[in-house]
Order: sequence, then structure tokens, then C-alpha cells
Amino acid sequence: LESRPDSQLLKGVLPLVLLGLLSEGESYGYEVALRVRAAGLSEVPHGTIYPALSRLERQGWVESRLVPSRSGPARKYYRLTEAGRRSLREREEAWRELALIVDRLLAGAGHRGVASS
Amino acid sequence: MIHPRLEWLVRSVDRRLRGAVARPERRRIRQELRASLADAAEDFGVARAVEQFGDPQDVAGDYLAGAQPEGRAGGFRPAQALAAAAVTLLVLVVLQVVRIPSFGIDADPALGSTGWQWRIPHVATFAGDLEEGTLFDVTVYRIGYVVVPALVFAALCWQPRRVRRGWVLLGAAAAVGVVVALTDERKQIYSSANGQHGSAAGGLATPETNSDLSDNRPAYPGRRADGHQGGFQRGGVGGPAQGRHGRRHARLDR
Repeated sequence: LESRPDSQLLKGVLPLVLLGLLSEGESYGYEVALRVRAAGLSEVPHGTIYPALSRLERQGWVESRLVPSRSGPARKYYRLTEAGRRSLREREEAWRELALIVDRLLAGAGHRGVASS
Repeated sequence: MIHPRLEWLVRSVDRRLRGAVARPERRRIRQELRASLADAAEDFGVARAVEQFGDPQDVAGDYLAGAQPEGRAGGFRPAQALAAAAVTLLVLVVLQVVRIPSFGIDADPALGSTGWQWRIPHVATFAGDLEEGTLFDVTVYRIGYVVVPALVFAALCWQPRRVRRGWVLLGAAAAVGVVVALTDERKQIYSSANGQHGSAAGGLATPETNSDLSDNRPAYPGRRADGHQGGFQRGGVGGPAQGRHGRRHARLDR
């Protein structure tokens, strides 16, 4: 049985994922969506990425500019701001701590599970 | 040119954002969605682009979840307040012009009165009189054209970040109370000024009441050829001897 990440869990980590991706360089919505999928989060619909990027922009963590595209309408390119970099560092740290705690808990539960069986 | 199916998808998201997201922001969202869907369609085809995009309802929900606190954020909004004040001014002008005739309805003698009136001091008088041939007529005073739009502007130009419904209701009740209290006071002054009733003012128009009432002159004296507006005011300061409308007001006060 293929394990699929919970959609709420994905939504929760999406800002961190997007900040992480944009820290590698400027990118536009569709490209970010492709990179999210390529990273293994194929369950995230493209339509979820664009509102999340908009929200990051409103929070001042990314800024955008329109660049004319030959293939159609102008693309909106996003890049991380200084506040965004700070937020990324904080979130990354918080994520690592949380992951460590959850890993430890699950490892303990795993041992108990094995012992009880 | 974007594929019609993709445009439909964009529009179905946009439709759900109406009323909650500002128009310029919606335009930016549409632009970004079009660009992204066009790119996806170029890479994978229209059908796959639509499939990868997800449910438009969910996408709109994500936009709304992010936009609502921002969209309703408080702050100084002079443009919106100015627009609302302009609309209010227009409504006042229309009210001044609009007059609903009585369509030949006769008064019931048993009622002892042929008309009604309700005054907001210094602002406007709402009235109707079957003898006059009107069911509804509004006189907006000159100061009303300034005060009411100014109040609308003041009320809307600064919006707090979050307003509790209880406070809104309390504020509205207080405003209505103030208007009603002022109206009642004015009726008393009016009655004493035209000498029809005994009252706290002793049935005489004091200099104070006279000056108050003189403020109530209509914005357009002699608005109609029959002297309707002028008579309306004369009834207030001079009593029944000064015209039809003076008589009417005396009758209404009984």
C-alpha cells in the first residue's frame, strides 16, 4: 500500500517548502509547482501553490515582478526577501526540532509496538 | 490566447473570490493562474493541466483563507469613504427631488389629521399631507448636505481591524437614540414656538428657539411654485396664521 501524505499536513509545511525552494533562486508559480512535484510532493495540486505564494507575498516574505512570456500571459516571478530568509531560518529550526521530537516519539512507540506483539 | 477550458477554470476560481477579494488583487490572481495554466498546458496538454490544477473550489478557498484577514484589515481608507459620502450626497439630492403624490386618496375625518411629519433637526424633514396631495416628501436642509456626507465619511474612513458585532449594534442603537432624542426635543420647541401648546418654554419662541428654528430653512426656499417649502418653514416659526403649511403643522401637533 502506497503511503500518501495527509493533505492538511502538506498544507502546513507548504510555506516552509516554498520558502526553501525560493531560497535557491527566483522562480515563477508554475515552475515552483513543478519543483514541488519533482521533490516528491506529487499530491500537492498546482492550484494550492499559487494561493500559498500570494500569502507569502502578503506577509512580506517574498516579492514578485511580472515578466513577459513568449508562450502566453506574463509570468509572476517570486524571490525571497530578507524577512523571508529570516522566516525560513526560524521555520527550518522549528521544523527540525518538531521532526526530532516526533521521530523520537514514533521510535518509542515502534519499540513498544514490537515488544507488545 | 488561453484555451477556453483553462479560461473557464480561471473564471470559476475568480467567481468565488468576488466580494471578498479586491478587484486589482483578483486581476493579479487571474493573470497568474492563466500564465501557470498556459505553461502547464504547453508541457502536458490541456487535460493534464486541468487535472494537475486541482478543484477550483479548493483553490478559491485557499485564496479566501489567505485574503480575508487582509481584505478586511482596518486602516485609513479615504477613497472608499469619499465614494460613500458622494453616494450619500446623491441620495440626499434624489430624496429632495422625489415626491410621492397621494394619488387622490382622501383623509379619514375620524382620524382628525391629514398628514404626518418627522424631523431630524438641521438635517431634513420627512412629511406627507393628503390635503397637500403628498404621501411622502422630503426637505433636506442646507446643513444636511454637509453634515450627513461628512458623518458617512468620518464613519468609514477609519476602519478598525476587527469589529465585534455587539459593539456595532450598540453604536447603531446609540445613533438612533440620539436622532430620536433630538427629534423629540425639536418637536417641543416647535410646538412652543407656534404657540399651539403649553410647554416648558411657556408657549413663546425664545431667541434661542428662534435661532434654532431659523437654521431649519430649506436648502431651496420656494422649491415649488406653490410655495410648499417656504410655508413649511413659516409654519415652524410663525404659527398657523402664516400659511397653509403652518396650519398643517399646528394640526399635526395636536
